[in-house]
Amino acid sequence: MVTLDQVRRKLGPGVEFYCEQFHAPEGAQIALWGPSGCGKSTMLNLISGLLRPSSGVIKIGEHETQRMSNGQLDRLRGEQFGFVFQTFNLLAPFTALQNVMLGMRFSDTRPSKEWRRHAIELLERVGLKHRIHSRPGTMSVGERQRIAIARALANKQRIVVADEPTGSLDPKTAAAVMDLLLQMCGENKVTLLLVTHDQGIANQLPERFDCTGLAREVAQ
Amino acid sequence: MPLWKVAFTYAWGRRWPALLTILCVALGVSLITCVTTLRAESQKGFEAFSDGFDLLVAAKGDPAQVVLSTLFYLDVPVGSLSHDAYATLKDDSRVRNAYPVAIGDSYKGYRIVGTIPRYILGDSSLEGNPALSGLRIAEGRTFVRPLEVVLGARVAEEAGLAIGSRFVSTHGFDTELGHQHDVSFEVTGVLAKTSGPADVAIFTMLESVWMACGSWALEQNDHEHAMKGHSHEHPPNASPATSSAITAILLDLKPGQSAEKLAKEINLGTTAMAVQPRLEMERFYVKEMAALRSVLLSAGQVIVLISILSLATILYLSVLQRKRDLAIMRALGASTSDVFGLVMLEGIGLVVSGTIIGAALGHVLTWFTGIQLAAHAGLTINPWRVAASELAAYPLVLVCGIISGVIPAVQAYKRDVATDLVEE
Repeated sequence: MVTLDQVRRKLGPGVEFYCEQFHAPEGAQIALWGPSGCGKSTMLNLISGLLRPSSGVIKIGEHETQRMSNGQLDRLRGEQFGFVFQTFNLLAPFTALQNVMLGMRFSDTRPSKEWRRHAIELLERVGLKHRIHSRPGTMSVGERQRIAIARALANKQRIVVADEPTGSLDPKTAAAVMDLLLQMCGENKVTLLLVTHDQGIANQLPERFDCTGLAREVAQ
Repeated sequence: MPLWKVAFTYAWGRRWPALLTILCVALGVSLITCVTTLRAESQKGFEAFSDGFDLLVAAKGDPAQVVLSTLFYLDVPVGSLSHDAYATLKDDSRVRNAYPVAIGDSYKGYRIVGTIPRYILGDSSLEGNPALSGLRIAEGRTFVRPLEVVLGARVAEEAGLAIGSRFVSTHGFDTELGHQHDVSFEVTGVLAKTSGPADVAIFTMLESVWMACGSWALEQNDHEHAMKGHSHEHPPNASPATSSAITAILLDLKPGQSAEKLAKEINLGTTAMAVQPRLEMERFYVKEMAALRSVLLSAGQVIVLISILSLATILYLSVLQRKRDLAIMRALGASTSDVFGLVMLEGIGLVVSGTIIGAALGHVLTWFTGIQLAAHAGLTINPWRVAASELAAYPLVLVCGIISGVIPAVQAYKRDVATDLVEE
């Protein structure tokens, strides 16, 4: 499903990202773990097409993303990737329902008449049907992350990338969010790539990929 | 969710700065709308009501002042002519109709116009003359004896006079500074509404004006009166103060007669001048009003320009404030053109709203100004008619608004998504 082969990306003066090999089969749940600054978030951004590699091959299914135009990459990201961030990254002016619908707005995976019904189903699934018209600012951090999970799965995505999804949550809420994320990705047979610096969180996933040393110093 | 709804939701999230921007655009557009509409409508009115006569003969002076004072009762007359001049022109073989006009007094600011009864009664040969054809008695009868008057429709409404009422005129046209005469006028009729200058005038026989002004002339010799320090609005020789003097003669020529030729003949003399009222009003609008219009239009354009610049600033700042939101949208699959379109839609939405509100506000302003114009010149304008120049101005404002949105939209388009997603 996701393959990286000798991928390089310049990060700054004398620093580059280099990943020799990485492979995540369809439906896999893999923790990308390592200390802060090791390059795990850069890897996630390269996989999702938010960053372009300097060299190497990144394959998402049959697509080699380094060969794709910006427009093609935008479309692929909208159709195949779901994002869950540490700081939720919900859009403040929009309600919970609108945030989830926005996940569908920018892809062609569903007809527009289905957006509302599907968004309500997803919010019901994450236990927030009663808050569909609430704005993120009025909700708890746990509720916000559950909206983000619903949004990440709104487009029949094949890959969910989660960057420290429990980093801003208390342990009890974090555990509940992790359970929900793993359960929903499992139900939908979605490949989950979860970035964390916490080995305890990493151990909850069936597979782990050690990112230590991906970001490295190079001679200028 | 359509993109416009996303743009609207964002604009609503920052509604106060958005409303201020809309207000600024609206202010500029309203000024442009008001100036263009008022200019087009008033010019139409002034030219229509000055189109009824071939020539206007008066004492030598400013031609525009002569037309404004004789046909619109707006300015002070330039001087006076002898009644003999009228008698000569009336008998000229080229002249079909001649109407003498004597203006010198007023009542509550409304001018008393001395003329001949035929001016009011109309003339079948003058069918279609916009200055006279509408002058018909709605109530009572016309004046047949000196000191009898017929009121314009607005005068009857505003001055509180009715058939049978009597009033004393004021010398000059200023109610504060004028001096009241001893002679008393009697209302015998009221004209139907004309939506023209006749609505704000009081018509009477020439002899009435001579009687009133003759009394003023006598009073002028009164030393005691002079010591009171009263001042009058009359320019030197403006009032037909001497018996049988008039301020202007309106001429309607026989078919085939050249107004230019007769005007040239009259202008060769030393005492009188002849002008073609319609041409004079056209010149007046081109020369005199153009400067005022230009100043007001420039003010409107500057306001629009400032508001467009403030719009660009607001959009630019909103892109900086929203860089993370825009990055989230990109992460959700929004293309660069979606992001570009989002910012552009927001800018266009604000400018279009401002333009629509400004256009409506401008016509309301024109309506208010029209009330003033009707009160002073009797001219009724249609404040809701859209002038061609106004229609041309709106697309320009919209184009400016679109241009102002381009730079912030390009900024949004070019942002680095990965960086913006992680920045706090």
